[in-house]
Amino acid sequence: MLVLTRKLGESIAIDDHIKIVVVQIKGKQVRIGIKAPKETKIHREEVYAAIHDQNKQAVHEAPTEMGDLSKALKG
Amino acid sequence: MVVQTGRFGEVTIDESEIIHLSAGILGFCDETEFCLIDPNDDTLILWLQSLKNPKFALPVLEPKIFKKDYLVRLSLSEMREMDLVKLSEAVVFCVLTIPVSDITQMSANLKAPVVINLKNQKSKQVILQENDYVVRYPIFKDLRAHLLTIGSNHNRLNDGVGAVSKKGPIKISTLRPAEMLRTL
Repeated sequence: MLVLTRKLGESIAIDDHIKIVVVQIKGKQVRIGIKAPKETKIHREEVYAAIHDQNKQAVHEAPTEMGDLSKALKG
Repeated sequence: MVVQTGRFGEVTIDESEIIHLSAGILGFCDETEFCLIDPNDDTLILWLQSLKNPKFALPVLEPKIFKKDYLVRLSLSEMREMDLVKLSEAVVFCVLTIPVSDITQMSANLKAPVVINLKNQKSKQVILQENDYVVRYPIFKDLRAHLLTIGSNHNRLNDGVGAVSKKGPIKISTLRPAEMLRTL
């Protein structure tokens, strides 16, 4: 992993189109601004973990008896 | 080909009907080939069944049933991954969590829908940028109300869902396109 040191207000350019700016530093929190083409999808890492968890639950917790599902929804 | 499934026994599908999720389901990158099964239980919930793992099946539902204003914005690279030329040639499904201990707590993942190209069955679980699209959106009440409405109308073919109800695998090309796809 490439590690760079930046001061408040300084930025990093990725390719020609993506710019990452350190907007604010407050205690243990850093606010980061990202300028990127609207094409670029940007997510907090936690989003991936939440989706993984949800997919896992969707597979493992779902009813195996189709009748139970139908009864709960239509009963 | 014959597919073994945990919930529906043995089903036979045409190889041209295989749904290809080349990047897999998020968290399960090895699961890349699926078929879509209608259990014909009048719940409108379909099952995305893995072809190689009988126990791996995801309950899915078309979001237009419970969230009319839902929009899926795809990037051009996502469209390219699916060889999707026209947005009107795809369907969208949300993955459901249905806790067997309390079915009323069922929820849909609005953040990461599965998009399927109707022309070639190439498919992708995309992650949407919208912050208000949550991973667990409760749907029990809305789905139940919807089922009651269509039940009382005896008008299942016009309930907004493309699949004609018959137990077994669904022919993808017969699904009605989702009208909720946009480009980023």
